[in-house]
Amino acid sequence: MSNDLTDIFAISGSALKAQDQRMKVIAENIANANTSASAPGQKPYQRQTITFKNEFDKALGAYKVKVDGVHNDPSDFIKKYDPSNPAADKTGYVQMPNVNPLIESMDMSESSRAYQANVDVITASRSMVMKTISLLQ
Amino acid sequence: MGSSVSGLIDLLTQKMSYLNQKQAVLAENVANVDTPNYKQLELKPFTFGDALKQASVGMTVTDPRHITPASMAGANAHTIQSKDTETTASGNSVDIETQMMEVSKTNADYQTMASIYHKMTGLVKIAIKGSAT
Repeated sequence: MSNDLTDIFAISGSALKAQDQRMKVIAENIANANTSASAPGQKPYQRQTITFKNEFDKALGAYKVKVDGVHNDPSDFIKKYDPSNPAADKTGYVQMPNVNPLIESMDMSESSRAYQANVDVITASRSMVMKTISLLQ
Repeated sequence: MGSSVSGLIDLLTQKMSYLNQKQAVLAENVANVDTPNYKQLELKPFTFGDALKQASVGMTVTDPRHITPASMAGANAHTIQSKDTETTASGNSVDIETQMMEVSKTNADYQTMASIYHKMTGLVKIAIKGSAT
């Protein structure tokens, strides 16, 4: 039980890593929000989604966070009327990615809030460790 | 006098150890704030039965046919799922606001205990030296 405080760094660290990867997927989606198909009949960029799962770490005796997987969002692509685009089909429509920048933006602030919360836990635990060390002085 | 100081230091150590465990459980909850189907955990309230187990006043095994007293299996034996928290559509029941409040409260409690501990050792030093400096 004596190393509970140092265990916290491993638990919160796993969450920071997971949120990092989530942020990476969000960045990928926002960056590719306007990546249309390069030719008619081809698919544009497909939105990526990330899922988390918890994993029981036997050495720690606690639930750590792990990325379950990154998947393609199966929802329909958006059709945009743009006849001048080389990727436009006969009717003049271009398939655009199924990315909604507003959803990504909300996801981003949620991820950032979770990241901040984990950093705060680490800061609080660190000050507890420092206080324990100062007892030796 | 000596025994009361060591008794108090014992008490402080127990409290600090409890706060350590509490902080670890809170870290687990905050880390899993976005994990689907994760249920918020909390430390099991201190009971007389647990105290008995800790004081090792359990059954004594003097024959191989005796039932061995059940030990606390795994580090997670001290935690239970919290009740009365809202579960989201993804099945997650972590209440991040109260958890963060608990984190800072645990931190403050720990600092208090450490300060008292420091004061106690200071008192012992005075007793040894015979003067305040």
